[in-house]
Amino acid sequence: MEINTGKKVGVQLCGFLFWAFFLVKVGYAHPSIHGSSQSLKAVSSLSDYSAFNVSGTVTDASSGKPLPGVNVILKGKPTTGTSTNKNGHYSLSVPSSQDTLVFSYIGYRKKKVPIKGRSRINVKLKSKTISGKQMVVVGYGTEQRSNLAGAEGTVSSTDLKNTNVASPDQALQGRIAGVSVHTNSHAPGGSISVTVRGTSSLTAGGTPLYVIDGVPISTSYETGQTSGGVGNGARPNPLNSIDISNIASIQVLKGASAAAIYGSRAANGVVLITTKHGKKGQQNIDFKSSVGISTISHKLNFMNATQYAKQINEGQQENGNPPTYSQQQIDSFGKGTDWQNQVFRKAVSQNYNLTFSGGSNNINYLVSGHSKIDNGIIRNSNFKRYGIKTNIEANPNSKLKIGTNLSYNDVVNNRVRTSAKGYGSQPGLISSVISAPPTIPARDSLGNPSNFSSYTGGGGLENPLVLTDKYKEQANTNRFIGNFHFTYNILKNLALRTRFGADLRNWRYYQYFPIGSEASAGSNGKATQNSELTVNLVDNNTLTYKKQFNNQSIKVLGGFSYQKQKDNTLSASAYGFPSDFYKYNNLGLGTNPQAPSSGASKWTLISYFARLHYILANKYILTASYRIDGNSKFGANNKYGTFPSVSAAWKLGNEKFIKNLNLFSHLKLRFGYGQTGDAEIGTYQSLSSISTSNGQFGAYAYNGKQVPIAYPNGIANPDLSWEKTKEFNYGLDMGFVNDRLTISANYYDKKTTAMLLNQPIPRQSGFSSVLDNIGKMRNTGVEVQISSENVVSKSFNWNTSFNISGNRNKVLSLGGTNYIYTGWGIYAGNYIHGSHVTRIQVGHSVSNFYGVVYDGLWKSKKQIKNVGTMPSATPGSIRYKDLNGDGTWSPNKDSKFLGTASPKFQFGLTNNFSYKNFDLHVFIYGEYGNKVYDIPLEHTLYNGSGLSAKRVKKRWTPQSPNNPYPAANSGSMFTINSADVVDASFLRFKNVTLTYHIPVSKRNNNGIFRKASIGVSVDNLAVITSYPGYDPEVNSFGGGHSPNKTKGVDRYAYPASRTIRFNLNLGF
Amino acid sequence: MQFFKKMNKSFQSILGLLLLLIFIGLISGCSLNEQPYSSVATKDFYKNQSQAQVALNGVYARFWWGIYTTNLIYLNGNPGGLPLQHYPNPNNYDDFSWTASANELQSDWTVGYDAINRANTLLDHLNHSKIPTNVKKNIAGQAKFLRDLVYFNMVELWGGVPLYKHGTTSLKNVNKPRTSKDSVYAFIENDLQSAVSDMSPYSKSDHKAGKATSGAARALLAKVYAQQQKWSKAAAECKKVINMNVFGLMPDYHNVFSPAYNNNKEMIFSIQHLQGGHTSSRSNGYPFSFGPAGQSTSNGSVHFYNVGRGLVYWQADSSFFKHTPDTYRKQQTMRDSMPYYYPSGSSNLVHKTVKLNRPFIVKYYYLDQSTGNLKTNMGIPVLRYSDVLLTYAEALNEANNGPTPAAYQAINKVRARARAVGTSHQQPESVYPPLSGLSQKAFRDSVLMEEAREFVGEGHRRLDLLRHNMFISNAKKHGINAQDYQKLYPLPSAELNRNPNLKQNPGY
Repeated sequence: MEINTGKKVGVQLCGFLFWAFFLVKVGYAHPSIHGSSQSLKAVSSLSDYSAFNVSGTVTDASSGKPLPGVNVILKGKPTTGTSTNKNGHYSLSVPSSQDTLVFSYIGYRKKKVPIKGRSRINVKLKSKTISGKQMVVVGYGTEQRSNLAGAEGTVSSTDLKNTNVASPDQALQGRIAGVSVHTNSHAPGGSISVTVRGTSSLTAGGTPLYVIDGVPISTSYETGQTSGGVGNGARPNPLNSIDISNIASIQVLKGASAAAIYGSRAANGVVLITTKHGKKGQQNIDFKSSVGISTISHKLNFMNATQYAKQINEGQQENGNPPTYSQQQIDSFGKGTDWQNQVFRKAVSQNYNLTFSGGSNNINYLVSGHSKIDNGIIRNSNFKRYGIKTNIEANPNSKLKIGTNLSYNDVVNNRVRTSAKGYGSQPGLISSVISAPPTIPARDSLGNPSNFSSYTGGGGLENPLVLTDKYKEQANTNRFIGNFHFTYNILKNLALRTRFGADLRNWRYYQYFPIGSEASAGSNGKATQNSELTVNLVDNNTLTYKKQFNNQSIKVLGGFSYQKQKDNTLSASAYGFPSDFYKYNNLGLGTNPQAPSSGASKWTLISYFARLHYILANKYILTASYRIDGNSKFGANNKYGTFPSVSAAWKLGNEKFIKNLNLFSHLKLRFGYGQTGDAEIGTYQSLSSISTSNGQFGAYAYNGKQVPIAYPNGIANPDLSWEKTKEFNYGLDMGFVNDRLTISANYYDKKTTAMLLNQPIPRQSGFSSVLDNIGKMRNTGVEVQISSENVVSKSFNWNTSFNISGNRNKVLSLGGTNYIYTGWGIYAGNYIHGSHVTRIQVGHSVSNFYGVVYDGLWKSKKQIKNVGTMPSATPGSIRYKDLNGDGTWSPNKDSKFLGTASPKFQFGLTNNFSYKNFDLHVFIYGEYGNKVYDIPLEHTLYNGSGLSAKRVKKRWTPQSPNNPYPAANSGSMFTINSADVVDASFLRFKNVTLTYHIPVSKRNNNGIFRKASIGVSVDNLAVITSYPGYDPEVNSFGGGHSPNKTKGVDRYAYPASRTIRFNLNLGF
Repeated sequence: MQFFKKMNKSFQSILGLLLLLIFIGLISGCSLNEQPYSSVATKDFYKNQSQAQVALNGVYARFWWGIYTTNLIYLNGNPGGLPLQHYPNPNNYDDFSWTASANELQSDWTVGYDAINRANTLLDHLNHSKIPTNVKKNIAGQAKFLRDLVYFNMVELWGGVPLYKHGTTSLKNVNKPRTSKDSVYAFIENDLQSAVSDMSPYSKSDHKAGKATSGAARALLAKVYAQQQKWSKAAAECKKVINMNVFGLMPDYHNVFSPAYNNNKEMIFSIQHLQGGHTSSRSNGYPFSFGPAGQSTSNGSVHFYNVGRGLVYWQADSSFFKHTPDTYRKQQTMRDSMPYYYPSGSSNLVHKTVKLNRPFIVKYYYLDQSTGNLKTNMGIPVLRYSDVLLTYAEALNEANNGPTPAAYQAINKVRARARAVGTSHQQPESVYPPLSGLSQKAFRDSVLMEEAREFVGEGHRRLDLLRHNMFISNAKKHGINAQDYQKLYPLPSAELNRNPNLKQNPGY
């Protein structure tokens, strides 16, 4: 939504007012849900007459700072209680002076204090966040952090509260060492790549397994995404149909020893997402909202119309042609059209979340609704999500616990095509903006986008405003993720837990190319609808046995799981419409209906698993797990695989000789080994079957009528199996000064064998490749995570968390071949294996660009003749290095590696400051040493038609042959060129948030508010980089089935934005 | 909840046991066999007539890609001067500087072998299918014709190529080395003879539909003989096609390619196409590759159809244009002026002659005046009756050390048609008189020039010159630095990387 369309703002404002009104109304009408402290006070006052009064102050054990809002209740009688005021003071009447008080506070350890007749009891609470007692989620269970032996990382809800991310994977960005979260596209709802500990697969999936409340969800689209030309850009994020506002924690199982319990899907790590639950004894209403204004963070500098026309004329002159523009025309052009200003806008985004949560002794609930509206900075691009979330848990009796987690989201993503030049004649927006001559007016006299074909230089190009305003592209997702579960304690130590989960996704893609547009050339409008229905069902059953005796603790888990996924795709399109009015909504009206297509596929996964967790003397920890996975996707000879793991830890800090050093507050050595797999490939890959088609890219005609076709699609591979990853992990955890400073470090060595590769076979076979387990790859890396409480005082607090990690990737084998080319680049046509930009070679890392080396310009005809390596070059065109020195430049023989898209290291830094009622949050992350192949740079600067302002005064002319940029008549060489492979290291100020906590005791004369805060955030405040394009964090090939082969290509990607956001959080 | 509270202990134990049983029960009864829903296993296909027919369609479908796209013009229609020139500047086929990594070569190889494998797989399975014999034979004949057409194009591009007679079912057969050119030709000749008999008698309805017929297989066989300089066999095969009496020349050259006359009596075999823009593989892309798109002219900035701006790849060679007699055929083939145009930014056709900057090929230019778009649903010509006549004349001249009366008769038929004899456009004989009294060499040169004029924009020129060992000398005559080894194209470099058993052609 644009800021100047007041009508839409009005609608949203009304929505907001309605909620506010609703809350106030409900609040007044039902005092019982005003808040816990008020109702608890009411109860305690009832027993005043016979009471014993006790009071005191609750402080933080380490800082001595008073803690406001601490719950103080009577043990055994949760209805009698109070909470501390802003000075940490409490006062409570209790029935007996021999009762026990229970002090509890979020993030602190609960403390029970018998009154023993005292009337004044001061209590110190210890923070539990870094004390090691924190419970974390592990596969199929929970564990105390201090008792873990594997490599994990956590993002807590406190980390999440300041960010404005759209999906849970984005929330991991910069938070956990070794977890690389790369934004592929800055479009609303755009693609994100999550890589845990380096790229371990080329063909199978590269994304971690996501498990939400125990349900492994589906993260890949099957076929539906690739039809209709959608596959041409960075794909949308499949997780953007999941809201993050009710996430309690995200746990990443990084190392194989921790992840191996998830077997054949764990090689890329496992992300365990746990959503929030209601808390016993509370009745809370929370309302969170934010409104932001986004603008483009960085614009490119293009020529104006006069400069452009002069360059064109100069090029014509150099080619011996008459000038294209007359002097009179040039004089009239002036600055012409700034196409960036035409298509980029200020955009308003909004977030609302309303949550009711609470609980009593044997039931707790959370009911929540949310909406998110992100308007993109490109006209008419936006992302809207509406959803509900319900978590309910009940303990009907001491043996049984039942519960359900349900979420439903509706996502509407209006897109303007970026990250692609487009396929065929479907243009992309950014490439159009870059190509659009500034000499052409944006709109005609009627206010419609001008028709480019009527203007000189506009032939074959689309007006960018036609792309934003008239082309229609929408992706729609309805997604339900839910489960119901129950735990039954068969014996005191033996529990059976069963969970049935479902992930249902209905994806719909709509596309309309308007009449007269380049993309519907000759067809009078093209409309398409694609849909994919994914039904993923899972049944998990585990038996857990726990026993503690003397100084030993033992936990055994055994389980079985069954999961299946069915995909149904349907695609239909029609050409030829009487008007643009119907868009994609009335396919039947098309005079030229296209053959519809549909498909169905199904896979099944059957698993058995077990885990032993043993602790001796709170010093020695041993964990071992074993999983057997059977997967239908693999060859008849290889349906089942096994995945063992073992890890051990030594809590050195608990040994006397360490304790005596008085240096460490905790110290732990960890070792782990595990085997995992990657099974994320399409279905039916091991079979040879017949493909059928009746579409544009596969059909024939007799008698002027289209007929369907059939053809064999591959060679069968009955031995097809999953990729096998073996990983060693060595870890060290340290805590100092009562854990005010903690350091955790890991070194890992991860080797993937049986790597799935589409082994290229000679095309004379009739096929291009067979999928086979032939590759080997190794990733090694170091991860360091540091947390520290720098300043802890009464009024000022400062804490920092920092993580840094570096991964080294090496291809060890590609089966028989030494290298393969991959990744399509527009300007890399005609040479070196078609148009590929990346070469994957044994002994090198993946995502390495490969091409020719820029060596300045040809200064003169004489130089061209004398050097002789490029005899057909023209003066002022690009000179490439004759690398092999054979006297002739040839891209096939004179190419080399130009750099890798993988960073040398990446880091994240979070600083939280609090001063009295103010909080300041600063979050920075970055990557160092990565390269991007910048296609817009080629297009604007080195290609003949280049519009970059840099060329204005610095292009080659016969008079100034030493200028650095090509002559006006220089054409593109159509080959990947080192000048376009640029450093894309960056440091991003992702989020700065200043929050003011309104002192509620003063404001709330009625005691309505439990808490209230207002704040202002800047998302993407600044990016420090030398990258010449819109944004260095880019990957136009991101997403999809095999996202790892090519990274770091900027193929006209969506520019990044800067957002100023105002936040309001209210608790009732 | 009251229910649970009232449960007694034994009831709870029973419940626990039940849950345990459910847990165990779930383990059994799951299968990991993969069940495809929207595709069929290869071994289960080709069982009946309709399956065999869609599989045959799949062979034809490969001709929407590869050589019978603009590649044909790049590789066979364009190199070495006449009659085309790449637009607007010469490309590396014009000046003989092509390389082994050229996309055109790779795509012809890839798509060609796809078609061969599809045809082979169909032929392998056809024997075991339950289809009436005559239908089975007709399908087999078409499949053979199509693979022979591919092999024929391949041997002329590259010389000997790996010869596959059966579909690829395992990795063992994917690395075959090249077979000699003679062996491939021997296979083609044999296979085409069998295709002729499989598709006999000639089916008029198949021809009308755009499918291969026994006539097409004969005509191709004639060309295969001629290309190997087996002149008498070529002449005999041409005679057989002529004697079938089912093919003939269209009196009006303009109608030969017209979508209104698809699969006419002259079009022995063509690649079928449908209406659609310049981006659809369903459409014949030629109209956009040759036609004048938009021009800055004395009448201002104009265009000649609504789509496909900037797609023009070729123009007529200027000297060829200048030296071609002004026959009706020339007017329907090449133009340096157009009788109508659209002013830029307008969709109102102006009927007024406008001079073009350069001569363009208008052979496939059929404007749909209701939409302003070019029609694309005409076939891409592969075998034409005029080709049979000219090959006949050429072969007789070579076989008999000079032109025979039948040779004159054949070529003069084509020349007369160029004057639109028998139509309202008929021109006097003086415009383009019939030939007589020529030496063998003069006749040969006349046939070659006739072929250049008759088949401009159909991708014939390279093969015509190769038949007489004139490909390189002709290029040199036009001032091009051509080398002897360039008679053959290099094998695609990617294929040499994938298959170490392949040896590159000498010189590359």
